[in-house]
Amino acid sequence: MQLPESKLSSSLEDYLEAIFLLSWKDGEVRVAEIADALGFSKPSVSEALTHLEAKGLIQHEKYRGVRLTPEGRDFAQQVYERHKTLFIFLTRMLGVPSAQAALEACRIEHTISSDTYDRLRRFVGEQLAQTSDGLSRLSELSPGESAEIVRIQAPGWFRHRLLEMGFIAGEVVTLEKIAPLRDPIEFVLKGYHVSLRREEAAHVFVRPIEKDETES
Amino acid sequence: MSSFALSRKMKRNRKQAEPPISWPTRLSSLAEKRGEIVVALAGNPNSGKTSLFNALTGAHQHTANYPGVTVEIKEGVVQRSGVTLRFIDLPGTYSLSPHSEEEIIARDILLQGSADIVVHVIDSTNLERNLYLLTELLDLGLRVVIALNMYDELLRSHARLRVRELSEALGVPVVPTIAHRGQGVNRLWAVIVHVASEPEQKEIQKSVHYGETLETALDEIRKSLHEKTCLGHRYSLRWLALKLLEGDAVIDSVVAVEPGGEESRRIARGLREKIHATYGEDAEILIAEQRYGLVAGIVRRSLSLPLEKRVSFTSQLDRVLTHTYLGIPLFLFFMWALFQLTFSLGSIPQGWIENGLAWLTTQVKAGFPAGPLTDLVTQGILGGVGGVAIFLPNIFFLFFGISLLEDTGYMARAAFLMDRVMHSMGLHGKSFIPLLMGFGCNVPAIMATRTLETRRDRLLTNLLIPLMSCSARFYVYVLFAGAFFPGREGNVIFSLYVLSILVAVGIGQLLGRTVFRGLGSHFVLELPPYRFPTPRAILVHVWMKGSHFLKKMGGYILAFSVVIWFLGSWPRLPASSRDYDAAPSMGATITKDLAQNQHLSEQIGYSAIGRLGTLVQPIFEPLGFTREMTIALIVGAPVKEVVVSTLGVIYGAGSDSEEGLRDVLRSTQLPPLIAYAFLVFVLFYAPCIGTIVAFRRETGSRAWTVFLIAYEFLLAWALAFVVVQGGMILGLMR
Repeated sequence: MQLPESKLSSSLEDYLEAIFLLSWKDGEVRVAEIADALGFSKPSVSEALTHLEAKGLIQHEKYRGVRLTPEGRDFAQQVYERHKTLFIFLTRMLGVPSAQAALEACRIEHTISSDTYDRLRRFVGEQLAQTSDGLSRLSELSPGESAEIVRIQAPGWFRHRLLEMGFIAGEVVTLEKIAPLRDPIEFVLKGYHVSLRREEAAHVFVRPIEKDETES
Repeated sequence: MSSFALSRKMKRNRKQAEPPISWPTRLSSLAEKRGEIVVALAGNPNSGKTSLFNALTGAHQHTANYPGVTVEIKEGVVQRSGVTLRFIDLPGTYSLSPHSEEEIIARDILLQGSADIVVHVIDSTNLERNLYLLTELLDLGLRVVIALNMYDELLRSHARLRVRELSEALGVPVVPTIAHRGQGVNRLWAVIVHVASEPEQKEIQKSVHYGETLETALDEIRKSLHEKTCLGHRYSLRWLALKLLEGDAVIDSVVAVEPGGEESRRIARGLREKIHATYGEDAEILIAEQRYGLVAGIVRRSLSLPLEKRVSFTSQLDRVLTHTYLGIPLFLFFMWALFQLTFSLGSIPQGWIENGLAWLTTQVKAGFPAGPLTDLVTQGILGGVGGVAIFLPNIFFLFFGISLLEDTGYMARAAFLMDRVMHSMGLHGKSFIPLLMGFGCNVPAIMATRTLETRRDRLLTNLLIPLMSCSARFYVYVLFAGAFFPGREGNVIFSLYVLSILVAVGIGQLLGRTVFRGLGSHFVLELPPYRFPTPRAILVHVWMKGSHFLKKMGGYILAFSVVIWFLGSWPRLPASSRDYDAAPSMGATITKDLAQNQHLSEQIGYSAIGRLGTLVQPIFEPLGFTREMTIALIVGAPVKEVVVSTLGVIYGAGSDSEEGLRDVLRSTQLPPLIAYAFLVFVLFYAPCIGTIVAFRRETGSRAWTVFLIAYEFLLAWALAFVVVQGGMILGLMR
């Protein structure tokens, strides 16, 4: 995929991205919502929209919502892809905290050259393919084995419970013991012991840590 | 509302005349009190919160009355050097999210501003996980004092904690305590009074900084809440904004009903979506990560040595107690011991109570002329008192055992070992102990469901406990098996116990998959280190349970017993119907007894219950029950062992002689199949008064109580019907 060399100012890219994100459900978005999301005043949003409309990227009728044209959608999608790739790169591969990474991704996404971005995208893609192959479920560990939590895929309330108990990304968990009847399973994290049912532990995706790695 | 003359809350109160929220958790006892400092104790389970509460309040505690709430909340008022402190022991929770009844109640009490100060009790050996709750308390804008409990264990683990640094980093006073030895309690007291007397404006506490993106989002929601709604009078707007961003359903509905709240909800929804789109994660996750991030950082900075992985004592013990092969046999042994303690040892004081009441009855009978009033006292009231008091030894012994299991930390292991079995019934591992105790007596068993964490698990377990064949039903089995299945008594009785378990499993699965489907049940269970229990904590617990039973249930059980006795004795048989003293011309005492038995039998038939029996007899016709059996069932509905003595009375065998009754029963020529169906019916048909009252009290729900009685009746009828019809098809009816 060839990234179009940026024809827009970074703030216009931000607008486009915001419209893309806000309109993904209904297909359109109101000016007030854009102003809300970006924290700009309505008049300045209207002005920017006029620019975008002139470039044929959006459609904006008075008293109706703002829509992306097919070209606008492509463009916005590319901006958003860049953001996502940068964010994943910063958080998962460099370990930048997510809040900081989001801010910085916002800045880099406008200035990065298409060539550099292409290389980055390939690199991130390869890395992701590798790591997701290496992912296993917390329930699949064997006694004494440790793993780092990567993500939790669970229904909302249960995920919340796990989060509160300290099952957050980056945390190292050790499987301590399996109950005599094979279920539930005892884990150690944050220096305390907690048990989960097998099916519950399966919601937690982890990257097993080699023995040497834990010691070093 | 509260309470202590702290300016801000008072002003809020004046602005907002109406009660802040209509959740059913208003503090009744706090309502009109003034001039005292209200201190709420919050903390994780296993943090020693209750020990600290006991150390702070001593004997001055009672169960607070929260209408419509089944969670037990204790309060204690203590006056010292002119200052009155009212302590509220909040339920132990890991967080303030609305996933369980405990959490919702703890949160509501804190939200209502009922507490001037919150003492956050922390297990020193588990700082990170415990401090997560602190971030939530600070977000609520509460004044917090930390009690760094179990400080001795921290010292013993050779870790060094710089308490002052921790306190400064958290922006909260920190007081090390060793609650079970009462150490640090005076200091804690002083700090509480000091903090409470500080001017409100002094913002010493920090709240978590959630990073720029989230903070911007929070500001935006807060701004809209501030401009468009009046919620600021009642809540910390920052906290509301946080909850809206997290997508907390309870708070969302609070804001939704507020005039002008719709816009804030819309903004929050937009921001949630935006954050999700940007980060690929929900705001909720980011918030939790930030909280733990902050806490971990602070702990790392103030703890000089990492905590030892675990007190080796616990690991050693667990190596045996949750061992692959030894774990379950040991557990079963402990359960056997608990059962023996509760019901075998408990039967000794029960004997004393029975003898005492029997003695009292004879005294009354001797001292007063025979007549309806004396009957009321001896049979109705004393009988009812006996019906209440008889539970007490079981309750005391069972809760002694349960406290021991809980305080040592074994309870969590019991749940760990048994969850596989219980989960297959749709239950929680912790349900095992209450269910098992149900075989002894349902009443203490139902009271023991308090150890379960979620309302769903408690309710479901409570609905199944009455299916456990308690010892009162055993008397009926023995009599019938002896009369109709001579030589096969053992098999018949055993089959009933098996049936009881099978039906409980079936009903558990059925309810779990229908009525309780989708309701949250999980097994995220902390396995705390083993600890030595303190006798004091155990005694307090046992005492609280006993007095709770007497206060909350005793009266009802007594009243119902008297009513049932009354219905069985009135209207009186007209005295003229037959002259008993004239009839036995032979003068033999045996005939006189017979005549008296005859009289009693007729009396029951004539009474309200007897008439009811005749009335409902058609219902039991398909089961082949005789009218006598129907009456015995009605009389026995509230107290099942009475089925035996009632049958004795009705069949004119007297209420005391079991031998005689067995012969009389045998002489009725009742087909054994019907007798067996009768036993099946007795097993399931209705919980006794004590169980119903305990169920009503523990679940706090009249609807569920009615459901319990109805479903058990239908179940009993259906199973008895299946037995009779099935038996007839198989040609078992002689």
